[in-house]
Amino acid sequence: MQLLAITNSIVNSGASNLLFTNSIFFYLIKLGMIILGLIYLIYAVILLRHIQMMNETVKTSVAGTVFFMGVVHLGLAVLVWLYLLVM
Amino acid sequence: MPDIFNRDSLKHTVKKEKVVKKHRLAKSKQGPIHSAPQLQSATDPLDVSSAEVVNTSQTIKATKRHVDEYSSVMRQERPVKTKFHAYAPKPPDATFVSQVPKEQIILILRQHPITQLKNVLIVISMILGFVFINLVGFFDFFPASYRTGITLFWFLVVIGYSFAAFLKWLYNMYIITDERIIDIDVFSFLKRNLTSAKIDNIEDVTAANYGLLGSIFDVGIVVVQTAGATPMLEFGGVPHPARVVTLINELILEEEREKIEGRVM
Repeated sequence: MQLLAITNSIVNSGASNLLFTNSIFFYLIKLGMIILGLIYLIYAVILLRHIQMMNETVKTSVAGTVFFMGVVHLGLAVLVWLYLLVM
Repeated sequence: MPDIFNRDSLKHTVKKEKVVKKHRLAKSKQGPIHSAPQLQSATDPLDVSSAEVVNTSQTIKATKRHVDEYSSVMRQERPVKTKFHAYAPKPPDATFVSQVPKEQIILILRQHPITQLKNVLIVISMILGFVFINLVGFFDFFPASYRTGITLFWFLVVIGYSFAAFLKWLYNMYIITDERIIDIDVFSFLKRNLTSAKIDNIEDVTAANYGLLGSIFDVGIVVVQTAGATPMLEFGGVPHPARVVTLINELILEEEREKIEGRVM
């Protein structure tokens, strides 16, 4: 009985260790993706600013369209980042 | 008909036309008007090759000619809105930051879309690579929410890469006006270059088509050598390079004519 109890405790601690390791792993993956998402968000803002500056340098009939595409791209980046936060 | 590539012939023809006009006017009114040109030691009054022509004191008002009047290339082109075209002659919708009043934009050039084939292949391989990894089951041990997050993030990166490549193509352009040539280079989103050269300072223009795709799609390189601070401007991967060179030569001749006729703005 005592031996069984000891064996059970060893197996259970191993299983919980495995579960603990798994959750640490997924937590790190999630953290990494949130950080990458944040970096991408900054990149999307830089892209939008670049579009604004280039539209001031050379103004054409598609300036508004391209700026709108930049805003949509930034919006998508924000949505994906928010999803990564809550997943 | 003057040989437009021979500047001496052009100067000779312009002088001859001025003398003819003055001579006819003087003859019809039986006397010189204002200060007609004095021809010295010339048997034929219309022969200016050996005669010394004294320029009139009349000043010619500065009038700028429209590009269709002096350019055979632009006469065959209809105005095209810049939008996403690689070759946009006489764009009615474009202005740029250092443009002076009355400066006409004659041509806006971008790289031919075929030069973006490499980027298109990269995007396709990014999509197919991700699909293949999913089929193999690489992400199967992740929870469903993680798999969705990874997929969304990956496709966002693909969209971002293609959007960045598109913007780089869109803003990397060459503008030819009747006064200058402007080269806008976008190396990255943190590095841009804007170089301009006056038409007056251009010394040599060369065009070359190269490669299989270049020959099929009429894509090539135009090299402009100048006497200014920037010795060389290079337009790489542009459509119709021969037409661009002809246009630049016509602009150079028009600048020469403007100086001779006193139409300098």
